[in-house]
Amino acid sequence: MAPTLLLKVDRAEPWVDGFHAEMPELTLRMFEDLDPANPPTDIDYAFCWRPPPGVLAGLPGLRAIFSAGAGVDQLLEDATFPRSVPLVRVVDPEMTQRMTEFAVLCVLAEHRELRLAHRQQQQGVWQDTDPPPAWERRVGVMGLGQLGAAAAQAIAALGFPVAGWARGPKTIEGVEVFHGRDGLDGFLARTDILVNLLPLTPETEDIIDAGLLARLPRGARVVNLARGRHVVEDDLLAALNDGHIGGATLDVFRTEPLPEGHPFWSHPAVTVSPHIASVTRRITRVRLVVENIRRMEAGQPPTNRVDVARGY
Amino acid sequence: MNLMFYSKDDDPQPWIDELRRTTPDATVAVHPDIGDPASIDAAIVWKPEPGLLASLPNLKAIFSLGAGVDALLQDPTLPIDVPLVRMVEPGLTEGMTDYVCLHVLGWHRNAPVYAKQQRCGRWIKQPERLARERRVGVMGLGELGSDAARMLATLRFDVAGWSRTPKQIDGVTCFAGAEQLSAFLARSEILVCLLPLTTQTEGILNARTFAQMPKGAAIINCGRGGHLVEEDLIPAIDAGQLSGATLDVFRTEPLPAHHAFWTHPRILVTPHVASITHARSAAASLADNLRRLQEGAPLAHVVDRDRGY
Repeated sequence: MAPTLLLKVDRAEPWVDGFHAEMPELTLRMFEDLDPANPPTDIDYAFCWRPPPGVLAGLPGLRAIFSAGAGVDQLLEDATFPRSVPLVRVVDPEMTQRMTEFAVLCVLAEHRELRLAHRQQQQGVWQDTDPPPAWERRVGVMGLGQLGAAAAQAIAALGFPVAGWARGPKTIEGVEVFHGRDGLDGFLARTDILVNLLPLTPETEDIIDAGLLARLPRGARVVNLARGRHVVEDDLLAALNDGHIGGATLDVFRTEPLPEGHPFWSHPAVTVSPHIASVTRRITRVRLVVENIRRMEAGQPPTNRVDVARGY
Repeated sequence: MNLMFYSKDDDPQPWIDELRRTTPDATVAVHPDIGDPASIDAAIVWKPEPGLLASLPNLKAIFSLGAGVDALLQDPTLPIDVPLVRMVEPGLTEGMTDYVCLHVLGWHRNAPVYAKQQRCGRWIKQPERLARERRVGVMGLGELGSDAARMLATLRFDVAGWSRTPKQIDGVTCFAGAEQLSAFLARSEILVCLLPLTTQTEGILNARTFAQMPKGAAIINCGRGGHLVEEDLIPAIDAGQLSGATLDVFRTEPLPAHHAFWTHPRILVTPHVASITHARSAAASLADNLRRLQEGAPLAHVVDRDRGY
């Protein structure tokens, strides 16, 4: 019998068209059409970002849950999340490529003082900003999964001395790797531009706080491309205001869209972008899900399954 | 060997320190305290006043602190028989490649749009493309252009290059000569100018050039101000033929206070900072040439004065 996929998406039509085109035999159901009193038993797979808590737990026939993005933190927040059902995230080579591009852009923008260049132009000031050469600007990437490792290597290719920090030991060519709580101090002490690409887990939430920022060298920059909840926003603002942190490039925020009047919007040392570092195309996500459904229908395990206990 | 150092823009001390380390038998005199002009064997210069080099009767080599020697060649009294050496050093190349990658990535990822949205507090995602779907063109494939083109290819952009004579660079589609310029321009959505300034390349960024590029293309000029016909740029942007420009060099520098480029919303002005020569990274290349000079061997990176670079 053809498998059934449950969709929880903002605009159904393009997704339905995409799944029909890629796997015509797939039966599609919408979250919105479920009767909460009578949970269906014929749902094999679910594709969602942040479904209402409890809904997934009420689907007894579920064989896999596909997160609509690379992160799964938003799904695991649901205390009733069915932890024994395979959870699959989007690992999109294009996502890695997009994130790498954006991470390189943000590092170069901090390195070459792009905010200052804009300000000088607005004021009609012709003055050399005199940045150090790349080989004297130490970049540190927190998180060395697919996204972090690729970004670290691309940044290293430009001549920056690059270190990375991860939970456990790793080897990445051209990147000095620090690991664990014990390695964090050494990593931070040598980092002039900090790039956050960690997964959001209970251990990494709020990791960029006053204590961490204080261990960076004075004038260091912070680039957050992972999740807003990695950063204690008030701590970052305080460090920016007292000059210990020289600037920040932020793509993600605790509340998105970033609320009107939030101090990040107008802070002279902050660059804001609307969570665009890496957006996966719809068709790419559809194909990844279909490929995994075909694998599972053929009795193979899905690719990119999340270790639920670890959180990524 | 007696060296003269001249630059109004550079601190001589790092150069003195590096030369003491790499070429201990050389003495370095900083202009104007050079003693007897006849004692100077070689000059290390950035924008020397016209006539200065001609006043050194025993000069055996002129080392430019910059990669471009167009300003030196403007001096009608520049000694004809003294080898003129342009700066080729890894720090200068790396700095230029940084600048080019920053601004190519910036146009590619809509950084100017997001900067404007931030000023108005607007949260709107712009349509994105992958680097491999973005065609970048690098004009000039010398030391600087070829390195920038290679790095852009490493970042997965679809890169082409254009140069006077045919070149071959891995991962870069190379066009050459006047007859292939149109084809090169027709595929360049982001155009980077890293040409030397010569009589052939002056004014090469003009209305006709822009008209041959895809609609909405962006220009990054980090060659020389003389490459751009400045009065052609704003009309091309305002008509939508170009989406904008990043300019590091200008006909007159500093850019005059009331110049329209300062305030145009789609032009990013940087004050000729794309790349500078670093004494530390340039020392090895300079020391190598000084050794050749002492041994009477041919110097590296000598300018062909007919060619202009």
